[in-house]
Amino acid sequence: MTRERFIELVKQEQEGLRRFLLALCEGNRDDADDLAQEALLKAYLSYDGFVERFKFSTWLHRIAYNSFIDYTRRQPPPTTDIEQATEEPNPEDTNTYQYDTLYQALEGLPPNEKTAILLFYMEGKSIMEIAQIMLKPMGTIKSYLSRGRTHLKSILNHDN
Amino acid sequence: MTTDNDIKQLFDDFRLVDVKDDFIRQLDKKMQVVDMVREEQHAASRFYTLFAATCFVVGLIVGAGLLYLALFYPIDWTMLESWHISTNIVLFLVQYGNVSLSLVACLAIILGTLPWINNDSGLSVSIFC
Repeated sequence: MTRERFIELVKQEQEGLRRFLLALCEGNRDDADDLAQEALLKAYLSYDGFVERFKFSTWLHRIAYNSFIDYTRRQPPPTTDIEQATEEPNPEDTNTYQYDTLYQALEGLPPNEKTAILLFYMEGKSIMEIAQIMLKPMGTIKSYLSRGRTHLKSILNHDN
Repeated sequence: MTTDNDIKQLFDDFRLVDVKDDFIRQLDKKMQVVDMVREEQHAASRFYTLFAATCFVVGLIVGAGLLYLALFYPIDWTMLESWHISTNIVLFLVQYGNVSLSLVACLAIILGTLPWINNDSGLSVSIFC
């Protein structure tokens, strides 16, 4: 696999991948893009291990999801810093404002449900593809989706 | 009351988020660096393969030569006795000299073979460097 060919393949997939990571990182674009680059480099390095029975997009999402899990493990535990709590959001970050409702709703979801919901609704992945990305049985994914929907509805209703 | 359609709409809106920037260009740069590192690793690997092959051949020749000498050119005992040195000490040295010669030969073969076998595992590097 040449670099040029890989870049061609990635050009078609990068938007979805970055959107997925952006939502997982709750609007933190820098972290999301760093993770996307990290995942794509990993994919480039291990392209020989790509199994044809997976879609390229599914394979990339799986690597990205694993990178995100590693990233969450690296994060320090949340602190209740008064300065941070009262910190005003940056008005220039229009995306954070624009998709505030979504991020707030996603924040209230458990990580597995959030991932399944994002892959299903935002990326349009099938349940089988989500199962391959998250390495969980299809029944578990259905359960995540069902519970995630219920949670999401209750969060959105509560907000409204 | 939030419906399934509301949830779909929420994500449909998010799908329009703009991600067009120099992401691919940055990625391409990083991949170039990765390619360079990979090329260097391949060059190093080729060097160690050659190094290991040389060690193997040299080890084999030296080892075989030493074994040949040890087996087919035994010490001339009468010569040793004529040196008027304590016979026991000389015998001891000669006997263990032959043994150690054989050991050196085996060691040379093993050292020549090891990096060849473990070329990909990096063991060759740790042994010789």
